[in-house]
Amino acid sequence: MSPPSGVLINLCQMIGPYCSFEHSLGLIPLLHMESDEHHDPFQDSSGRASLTLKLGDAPYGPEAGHVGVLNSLARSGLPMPGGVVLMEESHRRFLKSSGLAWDLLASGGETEVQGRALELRRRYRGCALEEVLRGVIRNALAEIGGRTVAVISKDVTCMGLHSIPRVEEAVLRAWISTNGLKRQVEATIQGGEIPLWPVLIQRELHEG
Amino acid sequence: MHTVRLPQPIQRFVEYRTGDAMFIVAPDYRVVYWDTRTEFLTGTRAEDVLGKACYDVVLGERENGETFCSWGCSVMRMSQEGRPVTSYDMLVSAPTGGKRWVNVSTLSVECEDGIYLVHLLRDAQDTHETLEMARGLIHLSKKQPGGIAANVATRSRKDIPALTARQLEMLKLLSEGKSVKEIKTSLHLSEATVRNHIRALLQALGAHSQLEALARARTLGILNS
Repeated sequence: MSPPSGVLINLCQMIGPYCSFEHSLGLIPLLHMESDEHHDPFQDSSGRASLTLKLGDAPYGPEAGHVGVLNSLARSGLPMPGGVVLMEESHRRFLKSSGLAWDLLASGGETEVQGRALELRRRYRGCALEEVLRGVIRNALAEIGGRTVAVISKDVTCMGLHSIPRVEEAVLRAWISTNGLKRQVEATIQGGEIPLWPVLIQRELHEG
Repeated sequence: MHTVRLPQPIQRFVEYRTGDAMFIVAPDYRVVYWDTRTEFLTGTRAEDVLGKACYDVVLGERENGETFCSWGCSVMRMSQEGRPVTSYDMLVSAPTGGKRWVNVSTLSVECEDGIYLVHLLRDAQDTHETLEMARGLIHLSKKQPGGIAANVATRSRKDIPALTARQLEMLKLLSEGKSVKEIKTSLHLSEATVRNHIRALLQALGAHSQLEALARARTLGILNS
């Protein structure tokens, strides 16, 4: 019998603060994606980068926050509800397709991080995910099955999601969380790489 | 309801009770009676059609889009020749603006001034949607040897819940990630109706949520994995 995902999530919360995880693509690759028609934005040095990986197969450890902890537990063979990790490539694709990447780059001259993050959050709160990402989420849900799922990221945990639109909303929330946007704005101001983070869609267990 | 004076034999028909929609056409093709059920089915009010030529207001079509209703139509011709008319299906204008399948029975009533046609209409949209869906499934199974029909065929029929055409439509839209509001808009239904269809779908699949319904439908082979 696998433990309910809620228990695992609480376990993650007990683990407490985690190291910042900023395996991200920098400003230059983001710009490069748009400028070079022949460049495949989803190609990395190791081959075609995945938009998703099964929980336990993703290359994340505890330094990646809740998602990394759950991924490590799954990798170590602990019986866990199934899940699919939306990789940083998915996040990068979202930044590009929604236009948020360009707004972040335009934040370079800002001084007030919190204000800028809130402004961006307001602007992108109602934005729709592009069709490829929606397809990725649908496929993930088809793989996971189950009655409800949870969406978990570094900053956001949404539980009891019972329909595709709710899951899409939760993934969007994970990508435009205020804390996440603050990290991204801060990095832009300092001329660093824009941080990206994984988002986990995990099956929830129910009695009966 | 009607403002046109009806011959005595026809007046009796109007007084009979029927659950079907009814409209009556005079020998000169004028609509002389159009009841509230017909108004509901076609979305056209009696005051807008009475006295007009039936083929101009009913605008019946065959499946291939050919005009069914016209001057000298086969129904009127057969009736005038004293031949019985068997019931038939045709597409008529629907309240939503599109077309809707109805099944029509016609009674020919001889009066002093000629043959009156009493048309009894019943909704046949669900039947046609089911047929359409079945055709789609057959077509899909021919295209994809390992697709829906192949999966379905490997299961016993009793394992697979009998979903209505509307429920299958809901299932498809839900699997595309459509929200209730989006479904409501695309199908021109009320939100409550869409929720009712989804509730019935969930019940038919024994699911407690939309995600579970989609997972069940995939497992049963109703949806492609």
